[in-house]
Amino acid sequence: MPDRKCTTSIALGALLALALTVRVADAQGPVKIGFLSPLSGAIAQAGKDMYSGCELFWEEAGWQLAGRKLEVILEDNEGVPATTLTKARKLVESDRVNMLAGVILSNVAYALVPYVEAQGIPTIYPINSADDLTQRKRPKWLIRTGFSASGNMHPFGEYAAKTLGYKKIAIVSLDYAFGWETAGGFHKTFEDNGGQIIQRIWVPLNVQDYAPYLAQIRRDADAVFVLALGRWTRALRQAVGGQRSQDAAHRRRHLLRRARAAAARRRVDRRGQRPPLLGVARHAGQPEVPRRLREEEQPHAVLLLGELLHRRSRGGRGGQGRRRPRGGSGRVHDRARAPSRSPTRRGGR
Amino acid sequence: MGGKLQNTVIYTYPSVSQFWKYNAEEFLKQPVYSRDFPPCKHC
Repeated sequence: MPDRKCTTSIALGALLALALTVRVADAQGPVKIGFLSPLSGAIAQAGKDMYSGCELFWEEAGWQLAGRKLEVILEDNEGVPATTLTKARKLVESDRVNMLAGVILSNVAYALVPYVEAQGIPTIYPINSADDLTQRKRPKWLIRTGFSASGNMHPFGEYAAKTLGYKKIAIVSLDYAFGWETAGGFHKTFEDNGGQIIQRIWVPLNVQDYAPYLAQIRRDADAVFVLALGRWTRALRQAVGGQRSQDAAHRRRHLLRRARAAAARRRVDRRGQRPPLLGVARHAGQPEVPRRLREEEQPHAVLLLGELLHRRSRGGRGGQGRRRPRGGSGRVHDRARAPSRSPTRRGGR
Repeated sequence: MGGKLQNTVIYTYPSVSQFWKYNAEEFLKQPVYSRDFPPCKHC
């Protein structure tokens, strides 16, 4: 971190010198910095952290720069481009700041550039990583001390293909500039080194629940590349945790079914009778389950179940289980769902 | 470290930049990474 801090300090110094040169009229007053940070919204914690890091440096410097008093006006841009432009106008045109700083999200960073260039206001982005700020569209009045989004992912793509040995990867990424550039850098070098990106899922910024997106991930992917940050990381973890607990519960139910079936087989051997359906009490007249299916029940049936559930949901409900011929795939479906606590499912399928 | 997970360097690629190992001029001729670039040839 000392290197990063030093780099930021040098950049701040350089920009300050530029700002003081440009705004000669303010030469005797305090140095004024307008700081735009997302203090609310999805990326609020990172916004507070970014400001706190700068604030630590200013405190250590005694709130002085180049022997002049330092004033910082902090504005919450909410991580929204339109709000950022409004606050930037206020800082530059009303508060008469010498320079702007802050901004995290790349869509916000790109959106502010035309105003920065038009005003000729020196600006520093300490964290933002929008590629084109240091590539195809380098602004005259802006310095970025952070990394470039794709630059970090180029080595990771090669590493995933060559060292980790992955062949097929699915991408789940936020649907905005940072997500595209991060995923794009990985995509490029992963495929340049023999891998295949087999799926890209773009998650909207207003997502509340990742579960529907995680459910779309292809089963033949070796791994999943995920880009999330701020509130989105929490939402992703909740969805992954929920999926894991569902999977664990599913495995427990599966093991319980097998144990019950095994116990039932032992009873059958003793009594010469057929076992009840998965050890669940059955109603009179309910069709019996052929032994062949019970014996075919294997661990990988869990995967088969997933496919069957999808197929069934598309085909509709309503007593289909009773109409399916014996020995068909629907029977496996019914067996798998039999332990449900729903009394209708216990008796009806 | 002390029974707790922490970040650590696992591999270092020397002498690379934001343009990776590509020629910078050639790299800048391609579009900025987006929803559609690179194209998803195997999706």
